[in-house]
Amino acid sequence: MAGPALFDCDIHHNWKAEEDVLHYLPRRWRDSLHSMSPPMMWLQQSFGTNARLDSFGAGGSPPGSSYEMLRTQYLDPFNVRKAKLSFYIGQNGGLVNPYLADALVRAMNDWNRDYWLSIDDDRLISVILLATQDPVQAAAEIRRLAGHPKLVEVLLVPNPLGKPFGHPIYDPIHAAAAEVGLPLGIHIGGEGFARPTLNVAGGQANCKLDFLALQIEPMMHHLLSFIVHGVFERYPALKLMLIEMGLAWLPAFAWKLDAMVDVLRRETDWVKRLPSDYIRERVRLTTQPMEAGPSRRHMVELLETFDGIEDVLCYASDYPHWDADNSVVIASRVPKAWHAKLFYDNAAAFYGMPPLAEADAGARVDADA
Amino acid sequence: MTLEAGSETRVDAQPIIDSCVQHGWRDQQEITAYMSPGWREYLGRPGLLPNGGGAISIAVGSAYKFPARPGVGREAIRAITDPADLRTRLFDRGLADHAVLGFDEGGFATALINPYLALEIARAANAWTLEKWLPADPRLFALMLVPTQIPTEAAAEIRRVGLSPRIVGVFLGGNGLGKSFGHPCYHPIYEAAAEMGLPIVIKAGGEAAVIDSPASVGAMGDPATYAEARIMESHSLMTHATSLITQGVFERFPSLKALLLGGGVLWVPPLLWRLDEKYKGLSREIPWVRRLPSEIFRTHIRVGTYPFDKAPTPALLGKALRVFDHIEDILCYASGVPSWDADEPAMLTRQLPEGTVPAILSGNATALFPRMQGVSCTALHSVSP
Amino acid sequence: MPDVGAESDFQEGRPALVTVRGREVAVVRWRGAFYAVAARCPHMNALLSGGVVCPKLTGGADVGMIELDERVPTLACPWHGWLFDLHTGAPAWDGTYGIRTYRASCEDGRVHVSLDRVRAEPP
Repeated sequence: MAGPALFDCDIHHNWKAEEDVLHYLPRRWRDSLHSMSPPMMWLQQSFGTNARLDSFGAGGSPPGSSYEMLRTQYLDPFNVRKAKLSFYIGQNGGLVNPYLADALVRAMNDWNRDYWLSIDDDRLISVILLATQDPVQAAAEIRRLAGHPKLVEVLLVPNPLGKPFGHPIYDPIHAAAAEVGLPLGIHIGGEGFARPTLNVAGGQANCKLDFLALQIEPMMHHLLSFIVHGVFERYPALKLMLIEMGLAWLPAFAWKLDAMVDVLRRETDWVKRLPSDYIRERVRLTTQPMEAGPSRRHMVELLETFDGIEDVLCYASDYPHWDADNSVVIASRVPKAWHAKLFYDNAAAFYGMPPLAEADAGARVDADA
Repeated sequence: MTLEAGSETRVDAQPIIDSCVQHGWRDQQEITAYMSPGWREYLGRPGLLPNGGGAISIAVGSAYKFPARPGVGREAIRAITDPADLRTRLFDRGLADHAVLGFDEGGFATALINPYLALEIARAANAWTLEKWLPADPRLFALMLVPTQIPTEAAAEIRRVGLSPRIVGVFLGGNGLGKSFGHPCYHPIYEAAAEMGLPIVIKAGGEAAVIDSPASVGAMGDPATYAEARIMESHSLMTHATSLITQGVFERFPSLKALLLGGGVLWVPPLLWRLDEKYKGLSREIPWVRRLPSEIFRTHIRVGTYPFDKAPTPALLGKALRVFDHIEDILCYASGVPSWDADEPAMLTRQLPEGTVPAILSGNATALFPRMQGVSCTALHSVSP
Repeated sequence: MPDVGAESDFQEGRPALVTVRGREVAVVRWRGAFYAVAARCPHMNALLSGGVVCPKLTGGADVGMIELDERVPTLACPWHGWLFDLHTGAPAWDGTYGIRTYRASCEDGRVHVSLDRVRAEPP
């Protein structure tokens, strides 16, 4: 087994065949469903896939669709103790018809519960996926599924309303998540499916490199909106996980927010604390894709310019996507002093689970019992 | 580091070129005066109608307004609308030896939804700069404004106005087409700029300043507050830097350089690291990008310091700047005067790493703006107050 | 030179993983020739044998052109798509992170790989 014990906050799981999910979709919708995903802007990867080329299953089944392959290719050899399954990638709720979107996402959540969460493997945890065009319906979906012991997060992906996820229009979602005691997760990549936004500030992406490099922009906008609109103030226990956007953008951005706090307060009543304090207390970032920088020193020193960075990082692989990180390599790039928190304990605390030492001790007790 | 008029050379005097001073017009008739009689007549004169009405305003309409603290004096951020005022507020205070005039929000008028009006404003604004400003003070240089909505007209304007020797760069103004600035539709502009030996200048803030601009203020749509818009201004610079690189602008025009300003500086290292990493797996789509994006950036792109990033402590700022390799090659001092968040050289030199100050205060500007080569602070002494 | 298999064991354009004296090597059959490179990607240690072989794409006379160089096989890492010239081991961007190339040949229906380092010139 290679690498540190992992709490992996972002693994993309999938269905083997669409029928596996459509089975749960009310018949009334099946004829309207022209595609499982909303159309996205054209930008595509080399070779037409965003998956690791070695993650296709036997018989060509899609990457992420086989538990056996996930286990043998990734979970077992890489010392994964918790694996948060986050759909592939969950943009399906971005269909233009909000009723159909809602029905489809419900079907996906039911499929997930019945297939993946019934697998006898304590490592597997997952998320409640939302369709975001109708926040009231989305809130109902949160309440419907909350309470399942393996569902640890409410995941937001597509953004058909064209407002950042902290905007008050999403308040029903914030309220429901807070009520059931689950954190929110934002996974970037679904913006290509939402026409109202141009996806980048100042223009558009005209190639895949533009799109991927500039995805940090929507993530920063989302984060900023949670602070400006006081989501953390209105919901004192609500937490936020920012997924698959790397880290290097955080320190300078947090500084800008803090430097602007007086001006922010003139236009909104909600920024009662220093913005970076909200980040430290309520927000976590997954490490992937971890920027390399010209050297290890560059990256570590840049991250250290955010006070308390070691408490904010949570490991994610992004398996089986093409730009997944290798935990062994990541371990060599960050100080050993950060390892326990980064690879396991920060995420465990965020999702209300015991830290690694305790989890291991508990496992030994169970084994002895 | 203040200078008294007429004093001898300053001890440890450092030449200072301010790459961004934002000049403006007080009254639109200053600008319409340079338009054709027909356009001038159409736009009208105040007074034709009751209560001073009767003119079509060419002011840009913004959804965002800087929320100045009530009761606090607005003197320092009052628009700079004539050269004497600029002399008092900039040169007499020793804040620069030379300055590049780069328009205030009036320059974003090139994004106004009427493309012919945008064109007329650009032409008139250039004539106004050439007649009212440059002759008034030899320490002044200027950017020319181009109507980016009609790239062929912009190119013609560059070949015409670019003949004036103290026009040192091409300001793209507001983004009236809404495309990222590397898009091929803009390449005629870059061809002309390269031909004339002029760098292009992109200033953040146009999307927020002009509601007509089809480009987004924030990646997830319009933010709710001026503060958010200001915080995210570096995002449009990220977009345009990336676009200029990936769309091959510097492959096509190898002599072209670009100055990006208005978003501070610390957005650069994370973007470059991200671009390089992703490029290594995505180059098949863009094989005309023949070098690492960071190498292209370092060769062709410069970043204005304004508004310089503010860190929780000086030590942390020092650390962030040390991570930024060869920062002395990339930054050009810009004050942003008269903006509320304008910088001053003394503040900057206190914070910059050892040995980087001369390049950042003037060396990089003279390399970026070749027409400014040969200027020095001795010019100051030949100017009568 | 160690024998790594029969010619028929290697499908055209599909990298195969072999072990030569304990070292993992990716072998590629391409347009009548055999290539061998160190099998681990210098980026994050992925097995290059799981990747895709394709002819080299380059820029053309102007931006927007994609030119094909059929003579040069490149191997794309299955993870992050890093591209390596199979002749020289050089990455597509002319910087650091090349991969080691080895001598590979086919005689009498058998494929051989030598771990002697090859500084191969592009065609």
